[in-house]
Amino acid sequence: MEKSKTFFDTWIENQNKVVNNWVEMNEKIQGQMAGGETLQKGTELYNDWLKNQMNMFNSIAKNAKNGVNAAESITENTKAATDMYNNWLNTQMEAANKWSETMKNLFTDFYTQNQQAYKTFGTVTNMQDAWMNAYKMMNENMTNSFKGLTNNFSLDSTKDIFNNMLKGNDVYQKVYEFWTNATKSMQSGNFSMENFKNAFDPIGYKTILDKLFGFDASGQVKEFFNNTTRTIQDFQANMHKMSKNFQDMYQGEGNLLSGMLPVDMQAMTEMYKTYFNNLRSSFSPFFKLATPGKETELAEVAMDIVDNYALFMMKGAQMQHMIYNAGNKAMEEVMNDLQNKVKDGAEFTSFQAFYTEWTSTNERIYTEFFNTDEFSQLQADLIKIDLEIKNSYQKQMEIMLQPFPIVLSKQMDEVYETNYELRKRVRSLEKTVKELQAMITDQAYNKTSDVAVHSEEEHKASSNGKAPKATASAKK
Amino acid sequence: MKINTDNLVQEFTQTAQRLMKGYETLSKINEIDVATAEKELVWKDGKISLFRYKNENKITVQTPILIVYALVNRQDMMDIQPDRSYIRNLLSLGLDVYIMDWGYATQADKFTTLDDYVNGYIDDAVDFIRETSASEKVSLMGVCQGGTMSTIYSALHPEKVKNLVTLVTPIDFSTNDGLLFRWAKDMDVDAIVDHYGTVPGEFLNSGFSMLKPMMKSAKYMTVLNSLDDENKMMNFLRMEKWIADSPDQAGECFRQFMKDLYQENKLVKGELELGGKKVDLKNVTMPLLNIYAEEDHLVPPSATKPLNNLVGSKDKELYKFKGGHIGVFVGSRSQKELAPAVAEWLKKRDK
Repeated sequence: MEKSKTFFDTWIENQNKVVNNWVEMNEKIQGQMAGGETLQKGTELYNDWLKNQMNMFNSIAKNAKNGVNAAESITENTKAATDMYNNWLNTQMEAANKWSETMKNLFTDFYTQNQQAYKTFGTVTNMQDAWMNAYKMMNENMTNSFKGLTNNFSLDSTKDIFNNMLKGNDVYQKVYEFWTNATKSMQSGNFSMENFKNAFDPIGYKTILDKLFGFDASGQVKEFFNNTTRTIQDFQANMHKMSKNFQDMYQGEGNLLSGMLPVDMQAMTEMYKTYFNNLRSSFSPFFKLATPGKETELAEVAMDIVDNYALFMMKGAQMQHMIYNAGNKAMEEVMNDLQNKVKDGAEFTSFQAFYTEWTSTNERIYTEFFNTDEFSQLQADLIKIDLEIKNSYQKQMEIMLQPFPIVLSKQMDEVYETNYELRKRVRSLEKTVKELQAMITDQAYNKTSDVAVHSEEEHKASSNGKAPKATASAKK
Repeated sequence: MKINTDNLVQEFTQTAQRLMKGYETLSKINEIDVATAEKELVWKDGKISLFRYKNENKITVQTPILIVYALVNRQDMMDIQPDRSYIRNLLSLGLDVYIMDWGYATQADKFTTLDDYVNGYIDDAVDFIRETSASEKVSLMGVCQGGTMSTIYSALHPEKVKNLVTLVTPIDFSTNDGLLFRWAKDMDVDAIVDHYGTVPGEFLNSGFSMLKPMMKSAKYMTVLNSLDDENKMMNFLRMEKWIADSPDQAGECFRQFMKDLYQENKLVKGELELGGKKVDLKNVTMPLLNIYAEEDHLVPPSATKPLNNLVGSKDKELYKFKGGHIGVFVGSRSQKELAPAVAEWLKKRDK
C-alpha cells in the first residue's frame, strides 16, 4: 500500500505539470496567432470598456432574474418569466429607441454645426457601447435564467433545441458586436479595411469561433485532469477506509477468539472456520490489488496517457489555430464586401442581411478548408490519439477493478463473440432444416403421386398377368 | 452611407423576444410524432424487424417492394410527417410496401458483419416476403447505404430480385467530391472499431454536423422566425428528432464498409467479397432505376451515377432529382414528382 501511494502521488504531480505546461504553450500559440502586443492591448481596451459601462440595466436585470427564480410551477414560471421580461424589454426598447434617436440627432447637429462640440460628443460612440454592453448583460442574465427553467421541459429533444437556440443567439449577438465596430466607422465616415483591422478584437472573435466549434480545450483538459486526480484520490481514500474496516474487524475477531480459550475443541473449530471465512472474504481484494507487477503495468499505462495527452493538446491547438485563421479569412472577405457596398452608397437597415452574408461566407471558406489534405489528416490524427488515450484509461480502470465482482468489457467481448457465433450457427441450421423440410415435402408429394400411378398399373397387370412398369413420377 | 439605427436596435431586441416566445412554444410540446403511417410487424430476428405497411388503397403493383434503408440514422425520415411522406405517397400509388427496421445495435452486436446484414437479414426478409406473398420475386428499393447493400444483394441473388431502385446510393467511393469521402480515406477505422466495438451514433453525427459547420448555429436563429406557426415549428422539431435519432453501428460491418468500400473501393473494382463470394456488379441484370440528388453534399452524384455503367442490366435508367440528400424524401417536389415517377416505373415492369 505504501508503495502504491508513492506511485499515485508521483503520477498526479506529473499530470499537473503537463497541464501547466500546456496552458503556457496555448497562451504562446494564441499570442503568435494574434500578434503578441495587439492581443494584450485589445484585451485591456475591451476589459476597460466593459468595466466602465456596466451600469445601465444592471439592477433591473438582477431583479428580473430573482423574480424568475421565485416562481413555483412550470406554467407559472413561463408566465412570470415571459410577462416580466416582455414588460421590461418593452420598456428598455422604448428607452433604447429614444436614446438612439436623441443621440443620432445630437450627433448630426453637433457634428455639422460645431466641430469642437463633436469632439466632446465623441462619447456618443461610448454611449452606443454602453447600450450594447448593457443589453449583452441583460441577455446573459435572461439566457442563464431560461437555462435553468428548461429542466421542466417534458421532452429532452425540446430542451436540447432550446439550449441550441440560446447558443445560436449567443453567436448571433457576438457577431453583432463585431458588426457594430464596422458601423461606427461607417457613421464617422472613415470605414476602411485598414481601420477595421486595427480595431479588430481577435480575442472577441475567437470566442465566436470557440462557441461555433465547441473549443474550450484548456478548460476541458484542466477539468478532465482535475476529475482524474479526484478519482485517484478517492480511490486511495476508499482503500484506506476498507483497510481500516478490515483492521477493526480483525481486532474484534481476535479479541473474541482469545476470550474463548481454553474451550470445547469442536466449538472452537467451528468458530475458527467462521472467523477464517470472514477474514478471507474481507481481505482477499487487498491481496489481489497488491499483486506484484500490476503497479508497473499501471505506471506504463499512465505514461502512455501523459505522452498521448501532450500530443493531443499540441495537435488540438494546431487544429484550433487553423480554424481561427480560416475564420479570420472569412471575416476579412465579409468586410471587404461591406467596404465595396459602402463605396457604392448602399443603405443598411438590417443586421440580419449582414449575418446571413457572414454565415454563408464562413460556410464556403470552412468547407474549402475542411476539404484540404492538411485538415483531413489532422482530424484523423486527433481522433486516433483521443481513442488511444481512452483505451489507456480503460486499461487502467480494468486493472484497478479486476479484484472486484464486476464483469469487465473484455470478458463481455468473449460472451458477445460466443453469442454471435451461436446465433449464426442457429440461423444456418434453421435454413438447412427448412430446405430439408421442403425436400421431404416434395418427396412425399412425389411418392404419393407414384403410388397413385402404380395402383392403376397393378390393376391392369393383374388383369392381363403382367408385372406393372415403373412410371415417371409426376413433378410439381 | 446610410445606416438606420432604429431598425437595427429593434431587430436585435426582437431576437430576445423571439427567444422568449421560443421558450413558451417549446415548453408546451409533449410529443413529436414521426413515422405515423400504419404498419404491421410481420417478421423479426433479434433486433431486426420487417414491417408491412397497411394499404387502404387498391394494390396495382403486384410485386411487393422491400425498402432497405441505411444503417446510419432511421428510416422514419421517409415518413417524417403525413403531408411529407414518401412512403404514404407510394402506398397511395398502389404499391405493396415492406420496410426493414434495423433496430438499435448494442455492444452485443459488435461482431455483426456486412455479410450478416446482406446474406442474412435482407435475404431472410426477401424469402419471407416471397413465401407469404404470391410473388416469386421482390423489388428492392435501397436508400443511401441501404442502396449499396441492396445492390450487393442483387448481384449475389439476382434470381430473387424483380426490380432494383437505388436512391442517393454511394457506389463509387473513389471520388473526393464529398467531405465524408475525403475524410474517410485518412481515418484509422481499425482504431475506431477496436475501441468502440459498436460505433456510437454521436460519433457519426459529430462528423455529419461538420459538413455544414455554420448550419447548426444559423438554423436555430432562422427557426425563431417560425415560432408563431405551429405547423412550421413541428416540421422543424420532427427533423431535429430524426437527426438526433442515430443508432450505433455494428463494429465489424462498419469496419468492412469503411475499409473495403470508402477506402479501397472494392465494389467497383470487383474485389468485394461477402460470405466467401465475390460481388460482381455485372450479375445485376434486373431493371435498374438509379436516382441521385443534384445537390447532395453527403453522397455526391459522382459516387452514385457510375452504377449504371457497371451493372449488367439492359433496362436501366438514371434519374436526376433537383435537391439535396434529404430533400429527395421530405421536399415538396419529392412528393409531387419523385414518388409518382418511381411508382410509374415499377408499374411498367410489374409483369
